[in-house]
Amino acid sequence: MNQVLEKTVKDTNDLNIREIVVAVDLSPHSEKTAAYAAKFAKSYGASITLVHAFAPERITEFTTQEVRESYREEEREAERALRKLAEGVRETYSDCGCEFRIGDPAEEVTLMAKDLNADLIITASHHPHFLSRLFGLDQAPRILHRAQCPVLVYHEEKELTEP
Amino acid sequence: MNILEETKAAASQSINEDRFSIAKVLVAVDLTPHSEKTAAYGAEFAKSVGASVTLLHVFPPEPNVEFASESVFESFERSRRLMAQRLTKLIDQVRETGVECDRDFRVGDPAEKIVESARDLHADLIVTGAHHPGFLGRLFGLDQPPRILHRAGCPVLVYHEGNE
Repeated sequence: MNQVLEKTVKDTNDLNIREIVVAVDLSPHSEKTAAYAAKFAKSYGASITLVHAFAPERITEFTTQEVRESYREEEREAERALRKLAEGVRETYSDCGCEFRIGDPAEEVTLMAKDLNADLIITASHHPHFLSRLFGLDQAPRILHRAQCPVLVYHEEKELTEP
Repeated sequence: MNILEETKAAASQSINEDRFSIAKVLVAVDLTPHSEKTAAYGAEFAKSVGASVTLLHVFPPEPNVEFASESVFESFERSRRLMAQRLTKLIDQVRETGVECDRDFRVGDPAEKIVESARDLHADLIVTGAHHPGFLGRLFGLDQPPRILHRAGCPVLVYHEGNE
């Protein structure tokens, strides 16, 4: 046990956090999550990549052209919002990129982390209701179960919530 | 200013606001073989940001059944002492690496007690490990990290072993 600890903590600079993937859902909370991630990255001199995964279109044979166009518009709007968020971060921390993906958020975020060989994933949890958790709407636990690297779950405010 | 401009401005402003600072890290360990690496990662993280560590273990509450014999309670007590010793040993080893490390040993529901400890200590971060339990383990609430992160009032860093 001692050897494990000594080997790991032998030097302050041993903790190499060079690449951070930041998963954002583009809700109002995302600004603070991105800002926290940027401050975190700054202290390690790490690169951050903001990732947003847009849920795939629910197109059936009965989907009208109008509905399809509305999905497309939502998708374009989300991509624009992600780019703006990244631009905002870059004004104070230049080493920030962004990646817009289509697919299941937890899967896409963990794939992205794997592709980039990320040292850390930062995401947020907004303390959703029990039913939201039951139906898998809270992505943080899903990311935790798929991730191959440490995951930091950011909470915006220091307050306790109902179990 | 439209909503996109507001997002950009808020993201930029937040970074310039309060300085990133982590002074106290609570490392929660279940004292399984995985705990050595979780403690090492937590200590290493704390060292890199100049924070102190409190190593916490939460022991389950004693059985509350009518027909439990004296030997059950003795065995429970032995087990509790053993875990307390293991925690002390782990803390000594963390201290040997030059990281300031305190001890916290509590009895109760792990997720609840971890969050309670973080609140008592005014911890800036909770570090814990994940061992990827199976579907049934998650269904029956044996997987602690998601339970912790839904209750915590501070960021939670979940360490996955074997991916360095």
